[in-house]
Amino acid sequence: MYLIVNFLEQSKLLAAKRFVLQREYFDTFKQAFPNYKQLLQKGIYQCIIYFSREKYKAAYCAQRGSLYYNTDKLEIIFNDFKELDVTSGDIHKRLRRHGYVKGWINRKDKIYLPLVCIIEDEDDFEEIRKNMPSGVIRDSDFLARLRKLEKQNDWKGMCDLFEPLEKIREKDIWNDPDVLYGVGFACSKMADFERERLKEKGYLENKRRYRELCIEILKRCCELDSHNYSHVLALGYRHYKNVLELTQPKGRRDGNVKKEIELALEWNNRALELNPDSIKAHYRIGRIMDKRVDNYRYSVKQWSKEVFDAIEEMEFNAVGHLEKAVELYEKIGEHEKAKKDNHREYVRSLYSLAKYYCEKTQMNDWLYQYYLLNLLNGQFQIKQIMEQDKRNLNAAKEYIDKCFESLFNTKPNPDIDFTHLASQYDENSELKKLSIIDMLYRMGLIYLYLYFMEVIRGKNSSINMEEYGNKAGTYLRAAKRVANLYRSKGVNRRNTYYINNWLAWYYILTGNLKSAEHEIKGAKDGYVKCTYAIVLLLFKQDSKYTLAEQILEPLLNDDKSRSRAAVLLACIYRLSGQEQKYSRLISGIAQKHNMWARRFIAKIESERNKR
Amino acid sequence: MRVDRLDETLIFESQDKELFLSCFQEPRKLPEYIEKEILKLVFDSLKLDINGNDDVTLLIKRLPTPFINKVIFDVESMFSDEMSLYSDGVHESAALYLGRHLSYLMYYLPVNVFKVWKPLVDLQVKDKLKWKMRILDIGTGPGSVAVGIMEYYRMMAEAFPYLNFVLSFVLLDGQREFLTIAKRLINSLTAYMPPNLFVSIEESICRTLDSPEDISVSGEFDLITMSNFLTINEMRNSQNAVAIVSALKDSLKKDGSVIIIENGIKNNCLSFKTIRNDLVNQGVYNVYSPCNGIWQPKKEYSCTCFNMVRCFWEIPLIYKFLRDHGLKKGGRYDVPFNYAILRKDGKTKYRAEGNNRFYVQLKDLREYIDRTVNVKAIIRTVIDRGDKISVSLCDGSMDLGIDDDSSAVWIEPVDKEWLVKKGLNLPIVAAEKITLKKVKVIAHGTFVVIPRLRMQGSTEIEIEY
Ligand SMILES: C[S@@+](CC[C@H](N)C(=O)[O-])C[C@H]1O[C@@H](n2cnc3c(N)ncnc32)[C@H](O)[C@@H]1O
Repeated sequence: MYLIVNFLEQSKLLAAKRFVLQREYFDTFKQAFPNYKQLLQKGIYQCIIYFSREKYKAAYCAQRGSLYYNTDKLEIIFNDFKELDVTSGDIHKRLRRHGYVKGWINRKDKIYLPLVCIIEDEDDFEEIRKNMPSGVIRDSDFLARLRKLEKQNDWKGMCDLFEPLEKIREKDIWNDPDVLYGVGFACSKMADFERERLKEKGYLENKRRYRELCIEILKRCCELDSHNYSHVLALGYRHYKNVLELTQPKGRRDGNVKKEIELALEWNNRALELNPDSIKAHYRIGRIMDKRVDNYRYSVKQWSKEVFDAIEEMEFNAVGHLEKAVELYEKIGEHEKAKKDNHREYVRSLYSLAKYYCEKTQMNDWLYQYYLLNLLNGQFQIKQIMEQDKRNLNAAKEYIDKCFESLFNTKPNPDIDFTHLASQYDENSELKKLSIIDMLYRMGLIYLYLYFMEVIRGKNSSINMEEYGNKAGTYLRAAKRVANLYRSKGVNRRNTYYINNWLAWYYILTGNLKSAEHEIKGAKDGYVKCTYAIVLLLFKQDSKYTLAEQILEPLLNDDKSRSRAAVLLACIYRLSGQEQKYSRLISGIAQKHNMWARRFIAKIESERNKR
Repeated sequence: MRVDRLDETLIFESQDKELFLSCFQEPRKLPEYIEKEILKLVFDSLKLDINGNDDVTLLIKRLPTPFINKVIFDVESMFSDEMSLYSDGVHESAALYLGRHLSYLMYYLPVNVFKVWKPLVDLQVKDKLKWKMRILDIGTGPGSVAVGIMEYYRMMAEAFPYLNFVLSFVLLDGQREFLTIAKRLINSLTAYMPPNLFVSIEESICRTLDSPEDISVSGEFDLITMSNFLTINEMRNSQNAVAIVSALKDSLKKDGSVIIIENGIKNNCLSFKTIRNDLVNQGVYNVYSPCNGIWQPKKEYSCTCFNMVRCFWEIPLIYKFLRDHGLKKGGRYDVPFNYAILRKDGKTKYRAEGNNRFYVQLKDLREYIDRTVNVKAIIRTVIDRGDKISVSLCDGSMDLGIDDDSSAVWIEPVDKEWLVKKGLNLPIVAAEKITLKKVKVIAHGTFVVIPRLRMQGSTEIEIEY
């Protein structure tokens, strides 16, 4: 029998020369080695001591010593040590691996690495003690090597097997679709782009290299084996990623979005031909089509009914694919592998759908109209569009709730401790499925809209009102808290003023203007400043009107918020009786501002004329 | 590479991999200085003067023709059946080698030098070699094994100049002539060793081992080697073998190894395996390698299958010269042999695997005809057919007799080039562990169905050395 003992620090060992295992530590030991008495009775041949707080210090080997134990205590006395040329960290790592292999560490049953471990087999002990590399010399074929590296997520290693990849056409494997697929897949991973690193020297070139190689190699794969769903899907995935990378805010811009969209659709559609039930392909097509709509919107010069219809149709198709992905996923049996493999796409489809339905509503406009017209004592009429928006919002709500449930295995409710949930949520693997901040934010927003819907219906319009309000507030606050938590951990540094913005709206709706003001006072983004301006207006104080004016006027030159600012300014001018400024503003409105602003001002005008 | 502070073994680190890969990748080449020292020894024994500056090709040309013809005759007749009839008890080996020591030195020493590398690598990959080794070589002959071990350690000493290596040999042979040659050769070769490798001959014992009592050597050894000693060519030895090798146990350190090397001839293989089986089944030793059980540790051996390992080498200059002068033997670039490493501490090169959930044992293969399976096994033997090779497997789950080669599990012949294209760079050698994923099981044979394995495009192969 062999022992491996964990001392916190080397100095402790040298001072005490004694190790006592008791209380909960002894319990962990007993859990891992329930038959410890029998084992220890066989005698101890050797003992290693490592220091868990001093990973880089050498481990020790105890030469002589004695051991006492009873049912609640184990005591070891060391007489003599020898330093080994293996570090404590190495011993710890090997020991833990060994424990998992042997099954005496077991996360599921909550059995952890005890401070004292018993190793029965001399070979095992030697492997740990000498930190021997296991199975050192290996000769494997490319497939086996690729597979092994893939298991370790060593994408670079996989690519390196065939460097220089530029010459891969000249190699024999150029005719082997299985191997090419492995390399192409690895290149795709190597090409994955993180916008945070955009500015690093050579980063973009490096990514481009792998990207281009990936496409070349995977195309060849599809050529060799055109009926292989995985190959086609992988190529589709690369183009899909390209689209996302090129369209994400602050992403890379070294590519042609339009072309990538077409290629992504082409290859993912081919994947669907080979496997019509491909959840991944449906999801990706849905997402890309959605991007195509955005792209199309930007390119439109002349808006017309045809254009609107075209967009409507594209959106309809996109939603169709996402809904199909959801439907297919829900048909999979509980324990099938596909359930796990496609979970990410499922969750994201649900999220995309929730987002789509949420944004399809014009609640944001209604909020503006509601408050501004109220201020101007105008009539707010939304009956005609209510039904449509209500349907969309209900769909959004259903999708987002389902999304939450599927991700966290529990139905969302305001009593959940979201920060705790977030800190448990595996930041690396699960976060990639979906950002918990986005999720909470979207839930908050949807419930906020629902709440608003009830508010405009009039007081006590429904029993749901309180519930919606409570949820909206809780989720948005939770989103903010989690964002702060991640920021403090350095995980997410994204600007989260968009959350404050909607939290401010929540306070507006609940009539808590002070909190609303506090929430967004320092905001830099135009649209948040606009919300801030509304808060200021609602105070109905002259000094606040002036402040709002000062904030809004510069925004007239801001491309993104100029229309909103114009509308708000128009209201302020009216409220504060600055007729001249008002006329100047509305005379320019036709050239400078969008449809929304024009319509809105027209409404204000007509209200004015009524009186 | 580093030395363990507790047991002084050499610990192989992953960056050392390349060095050992080269042991498999390239054929071994007998350094010219060895050939030169062999020739110098020959000239000396023939009492002929030489110019010390001459290189091997020049030296070899100076050998007198009658001597060359004698060497060729000796080599071709030495172990032929006819000569083996000389048996007269203790003196049989004396008779066998009478007047032929120089021929043995010139021809059999070179071919036997590198065989010992295979067992040495087996030990090394599991950190069983020490920086300092005390070795007992039984049946030294002209010193082939010692020279082989020296060469192996020279390679290490050159690769790891920051480490020191020490080899000390105790040589034992029944024939003084051989011991004289061995001592002289080893001593002359020490001049070529790097400064961090110290080689010495501790003792040379001229004694004929006829019974276990004859083994009385002082101290314990890290390594006891016997190369072409138990062979049936050495007549009585194979009868005494079990007793003699058993008796050696007391001279072996508790973490020491016995290396037995034999030639690749079928009859010899049978006797060698029988001896091995007896030694293990009587509980004297365990087999460290080859022939480990893949799924369970193998405690009993009843298998006597006919197989062999190969050592790839470049034909040395002396051989080329002899062949130019009419020698028919010695054209093989792959030398077949058999070996076993025995230990008394129960350690094995490959440890039995716990998890066989995704694999099929070879004994069960016939239930999987036409299906694609995963298999793990030791490569039993490899047959080279020019462009193609056939490989036979053993996982310890079936016992074969010496003539059961055809009922063993074979992989259908594959193109060597195909393997290279797949990315397998090293020649496939017997005794290594192979993992095959997605191989197809094919029915073979007319009366009895014998399963064979067929490699497919999607087959994954991995060989562990
Ligand atoms: C075939 S040679 C092998 C030499 C060398 N080990 C090699 O592999 O090239 C066998 C050697 O064993 C010696 N030998 C054979 N039987 C012996 C015995 N019973 N006692 C001592 N020496 C013996 C012979 O003298 C001869 O030198």
